[in-house]
Amino acid sequence: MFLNDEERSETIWACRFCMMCQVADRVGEVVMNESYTPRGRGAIICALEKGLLKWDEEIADIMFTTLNDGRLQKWCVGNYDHEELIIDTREKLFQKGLLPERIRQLFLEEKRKTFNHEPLISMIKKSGITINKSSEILIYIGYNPTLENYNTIAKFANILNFANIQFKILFEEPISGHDYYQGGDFESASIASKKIAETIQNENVSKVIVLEADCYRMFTTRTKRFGGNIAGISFEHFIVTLNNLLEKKLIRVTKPYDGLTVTYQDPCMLARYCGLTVDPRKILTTIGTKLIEMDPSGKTAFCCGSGGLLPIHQPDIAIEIARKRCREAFETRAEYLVTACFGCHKMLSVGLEKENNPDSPKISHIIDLVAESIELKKTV
Amino acid sequence: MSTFLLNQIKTELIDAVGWDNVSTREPDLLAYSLDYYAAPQIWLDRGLPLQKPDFIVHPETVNQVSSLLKIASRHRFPVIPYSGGTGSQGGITPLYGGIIIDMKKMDRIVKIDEDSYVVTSQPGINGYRLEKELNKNGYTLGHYPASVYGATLGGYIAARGTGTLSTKYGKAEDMVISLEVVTPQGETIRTLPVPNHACGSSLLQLYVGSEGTLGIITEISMRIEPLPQVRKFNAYLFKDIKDGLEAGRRMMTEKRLRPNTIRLYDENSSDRIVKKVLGLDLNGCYMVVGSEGQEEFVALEMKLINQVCTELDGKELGPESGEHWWNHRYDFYFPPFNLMLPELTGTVETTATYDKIHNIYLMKKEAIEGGFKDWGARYIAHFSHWFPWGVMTYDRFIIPTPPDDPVEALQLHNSIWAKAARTSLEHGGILNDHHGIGFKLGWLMPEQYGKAWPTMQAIKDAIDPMGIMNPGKFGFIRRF
Repeated sequence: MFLNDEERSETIWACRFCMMCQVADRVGEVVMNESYTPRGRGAIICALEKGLLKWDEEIADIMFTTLNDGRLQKWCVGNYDHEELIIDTREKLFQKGLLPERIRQLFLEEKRKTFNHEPLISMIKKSGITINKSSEILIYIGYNPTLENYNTIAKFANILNFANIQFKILFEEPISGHDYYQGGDFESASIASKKIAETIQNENVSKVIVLEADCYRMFTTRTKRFGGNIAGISFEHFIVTLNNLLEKKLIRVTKPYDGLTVTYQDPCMLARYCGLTVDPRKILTTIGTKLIEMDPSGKTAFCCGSGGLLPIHQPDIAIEIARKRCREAFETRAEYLVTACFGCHKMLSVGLEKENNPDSPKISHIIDLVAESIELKKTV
Repeated sequence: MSTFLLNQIKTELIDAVGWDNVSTREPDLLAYSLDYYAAPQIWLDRGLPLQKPDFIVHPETVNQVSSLLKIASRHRFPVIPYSGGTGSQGGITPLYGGIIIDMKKMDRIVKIDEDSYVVTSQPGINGYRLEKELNKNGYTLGHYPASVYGATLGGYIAARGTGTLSTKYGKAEDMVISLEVVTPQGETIRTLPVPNHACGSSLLQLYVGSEGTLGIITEISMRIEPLPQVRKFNAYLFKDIKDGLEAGRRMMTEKRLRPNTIRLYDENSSDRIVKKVLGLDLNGCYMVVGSEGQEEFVALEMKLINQVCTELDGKELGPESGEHWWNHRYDFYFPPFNLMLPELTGTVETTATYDKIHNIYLMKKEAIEGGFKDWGARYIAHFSHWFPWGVMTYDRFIIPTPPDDPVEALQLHNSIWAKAARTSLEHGGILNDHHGIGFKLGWLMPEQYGKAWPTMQAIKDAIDPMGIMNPGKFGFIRRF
């Protein structure tokens, strides 16, 4: 769907002849099997098209053991979109009824439910934070938060209150459809895109502040293409919101960190697909931390392991990838590993735990760091 | 081979390395049947079945490698060592099926000896990752092949690889200090701890470049270099290839300089390839020259380089041009810039002494463009790896519209290759400088070595009497 026939043929041709992005691919680095490298996948897809291989569970395993994090395209001198080729191939697997079992189960679960944010809203209200149902700004959470996440989201809500920004949160929040898109179920992705767009339109909002990086990418680059009517609505990732508030001095740092060393995990969907690498760094500087970059970082940062539905299909490989990223964080010797995505936060928390390194940095969501530096408690 | 026997071998392989490290899955067998060798790629392109191995095995320790080779020996079953899969000569093609032993899981850096400037590593380590680790500690391997992103240290040694900066740092065989090798019988042996000695012929250099035909390399010690303080480039335009070659020769011989790079493109390459990749509009022969090391040394070397080039009317294009080339040096070898199917192409490179190289270039150009005129054959070349006594020409043929029939396409490919290789041999060159021999050039090895060939075969027979190691390569007689 996102590659036309010519682009698809060219991408298969390029990938089967090229090992340039092999070192950009963490899955290949962990699995160490040619079939799980970009070149191997290119050759396998070519062989499938030529009838030299059968579409079966083994192919499904190979095509779902990827991160789809945009790093391969970023690395590629020819800018070939290997990730979209994989999603395209997953779509063919879906059409043939060959989705891996765990992915199939995930999709069944997602079809049965919307995210119920009533407990979250209740908790926010109990904290004395105002939610305004007639506000033109909607916060889109994008997943089922954990209790730890509740606190972080509440702090973000508190920051908005502190800056006199009215907002609302949906009690019943439809999914963005990003998982369906990643999994190749384009029909469900289209249904989800239309439903979320319609829900947002019915809320009469002009702006949606999005907390999750993959949802933000979905809204800004895919929802419309899947048929969702998002005309007249602007989408802003919370990291931009936070930075704007600091720059416009709508919130002020009263308790700067005084050189606390931090390193920052760029969410793939945010840094590579949406180009948002500057705002988080400005925030970290503004609140007084000293940023030590991981190698690599920014648009070429390695994924935390949670991309491409990998933790669903191959959790052990995803954890191994998270551990590798954590080791890159250790090398910076920073005191804190800062995240801006709940998915990254969860994955890297697991990675840190598995590494069990006494010199391990503490992990913190950027919202929590900002909230601490502006002493929100005084205002609630 | 009978199904029962194949199953028995599989049982033994699993016993040696574990379930997770043995695969007979169809996608894996296909993925390991391909590298950059044209024949299987043509077959895949035309939708024809590939020549596949029977098993893919991923050992994690030297003891496992040893067990695998004992199993293969006992069953007289072919073994094909594999790591990066970046070869172009059919070195990993499983001609008789067998076991592909993928060394990628043996990828640990064992030690960086900071007193001696020596790194010891397992062979499966990826070249780019090894270089990054060395850089973190202030060192470089000095080996920058275009295949660095996929190739492994084991592959560098097994195929006598070379890199962009070889003119300064040498080829892989110049960097190697010692090796650990598992013999075809499963014995683990070590070469002497140092490469320079008066203790008889070099066992080390016997295994270097053996392309998996004599055993499996399981540990490698390599010389490393300090990261250079500065790295500088300049670029020149010569009116023809002869002047460019003479400039390089003077730098390497009369001046005894050691630039990090001398890369001289012929008119066709400058006009077509350099223009396409670097966007430079050139009329003549483009040369990039560089130097690295201590600042004062580099300044002097760049001054002397400039002196040599201007004496031969080389037009100085300036450091930006040279740096632009350096920043894009690998782009030439990757899509969309690389030469690949549907065009039929081949790198028929050779090395010769300075007195012969220009003639070889002219003869090969004529042999290819004249000999395969009906196919619209084109010949392009650059000179990229320079020695104190001679230089390598990286020359390629291009057939823009090859036959649709895969057998005809392959026959044409082989014919051009044979013509080019024989022209090299006839005029004082060799079959290959750094891509290796593999299957593709094996049949020409007896021709190259002449009366010395039985000695080469005798060495192979002595070390691998059953001929299980990478059979069908190097032109060795099949023994199993």
